[in-house]
Amino acid sequence: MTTTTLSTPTSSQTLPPRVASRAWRWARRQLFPSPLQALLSLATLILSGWFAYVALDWLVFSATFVGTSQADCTGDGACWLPITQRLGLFVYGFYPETQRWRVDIAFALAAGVFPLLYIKRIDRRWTLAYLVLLPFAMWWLLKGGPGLPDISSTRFAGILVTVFLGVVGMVFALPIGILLALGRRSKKPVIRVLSVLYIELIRSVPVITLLFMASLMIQLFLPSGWNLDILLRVLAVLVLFTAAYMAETVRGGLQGMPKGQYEAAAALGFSYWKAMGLIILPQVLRNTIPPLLTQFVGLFKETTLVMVVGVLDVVGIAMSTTSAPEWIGRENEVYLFLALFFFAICFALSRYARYLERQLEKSRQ
Amino acid sequence: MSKPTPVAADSTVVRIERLNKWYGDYHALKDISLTVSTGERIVVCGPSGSGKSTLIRCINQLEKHQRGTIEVLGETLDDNIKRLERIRRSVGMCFQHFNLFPHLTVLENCTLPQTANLRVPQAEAIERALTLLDKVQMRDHANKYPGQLSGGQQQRIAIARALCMRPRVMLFDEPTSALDPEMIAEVLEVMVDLAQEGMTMICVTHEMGFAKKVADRVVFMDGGEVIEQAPPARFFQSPESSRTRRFLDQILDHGVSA
Repeated sequence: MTTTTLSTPTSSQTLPPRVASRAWRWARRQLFPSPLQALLSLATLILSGWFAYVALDWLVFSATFVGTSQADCTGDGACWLPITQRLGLFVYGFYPETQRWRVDIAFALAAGVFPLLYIKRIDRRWTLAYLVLLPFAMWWLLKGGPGLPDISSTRFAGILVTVFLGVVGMVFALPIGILLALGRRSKKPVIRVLSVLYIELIRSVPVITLLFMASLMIQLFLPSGWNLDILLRVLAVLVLFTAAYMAETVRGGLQGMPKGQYEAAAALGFSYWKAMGLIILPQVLRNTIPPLLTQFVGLFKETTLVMVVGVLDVVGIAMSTTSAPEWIGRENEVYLFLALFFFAICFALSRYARYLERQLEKSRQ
Repeated sequence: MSKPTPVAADSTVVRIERLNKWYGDYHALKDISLTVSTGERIVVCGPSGSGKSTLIRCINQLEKHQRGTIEVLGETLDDNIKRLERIRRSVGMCFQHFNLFPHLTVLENCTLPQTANLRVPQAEAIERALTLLDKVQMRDHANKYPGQLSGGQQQRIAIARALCMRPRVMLFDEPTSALDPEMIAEVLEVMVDLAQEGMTMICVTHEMGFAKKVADRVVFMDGGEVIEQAPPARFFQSPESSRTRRFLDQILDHGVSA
């Protein structure tokens, strides 16, 4: 719908005289069909223009971008210094400065997923291998391991935590969700009952409760002396939580598959796993892309809840900034920055979902 | 897996003995016995609800039976799923609604079952797929998706896909019932060719013209029982049972036969 309305002004560049008049006709029909409507349109235009001016003025024109401390915030507009001055903290948290290149590489690896998903010519097996290895590569880079010095996870904070939890959560949640969905439809009673129990249990407990349990209770069940990294514990909660929801989405897709597809696969001698992996799931996943990506967006935003158990994600850093004495009174700017950060990433994800949907419509024709 | 399934000494492909099946309390198949030898072409007909589809679907266990034995290519069907998968690879099946895989191209529909289940190398699978697509005159459409093709074209591809597995017997479950009249002929033509090449076939169909032309034996079912089986000449000229006669009167009167 949006594309059709937007296409009018864009095409005006190719056919100026005709289309300009068409734009005028559109404006007359849509904005000024009657005196009252014209008045309302005009009032709305003026109001939104004024609002845009005020907002831009505060955000950009009268804002302060250069300086080092609160004392430099002399303009009438926003003061972005708490962001610019603490950008390192926002992005890398308390990560040692000499090791920040590891975070940069980890971010680059995560960003590399997008071109891989867009470019069709790349063999799907490579994409899959990349996605499977990505979480481990990121953990190795960030946390350390063979060849890299170990970094305490108390130093992990900011966007680093948000991106790590988001990306790794997404990579693990979908396969587990698929297994749960298959388990729920299994003919083996034990597997089916366990899957149903798991899905229903997780779905009826708030994620925040699960996070508290992960931070406090898991320690009780581990042998003494063992200590599972808090970051991994909250990651596990996010994955298991999202997986339960994804399982229901995938189950819906499985139920929507025509019986004939299962029968044709069986008649050709496909085993259960081959039939699922090669015939059924590729179709189901295609059909459930939009709801699955919505859940990915949800997962990404839910990473902010880890704050309640003491993991400082980007929101945690924002809160520590607003309560720091030298930046007191700059909540507006800090929270606006947060909103923009999440909007940028979630909007990109939902655009990607839209793109996939369009591809799907094309292949259905 | 690549080892050929041992052929029974009497070259029996399918042996069904006292087969019984219930859906809940409904007795769908009653004491059915049927033997099919190599190269035989069987047409199963009967009114709807007579159990003919159920019978043919029991042969590759898309439906499980409760009593009686089914022997396919010398092996008895039971709960052994690995054996069943192996047998299914030698038993081709065509469905009423084609059931091609919509996310794969025509060619991939024909190659994937070979590479995944028979471990045929990709190049060899493509070659075989193209040969068979050529045979059903669909080679030009090899790179299209099933959704872009007509019902008759899809059914011919489904036949080619089944043949790619080098089946020892082909099952047809009302292959022309979902087709527009003008497409029935193109599918029947492929089936007649197949029959003339000596393929063992069991066809559930209402196409009496096809039965007269190629069947070695016509099996008439009603109410879950085999009422009569005879060579087509005798079956159509002088049916023994009054139920058969009534069925033939109805179906031939309405000019369904080709």
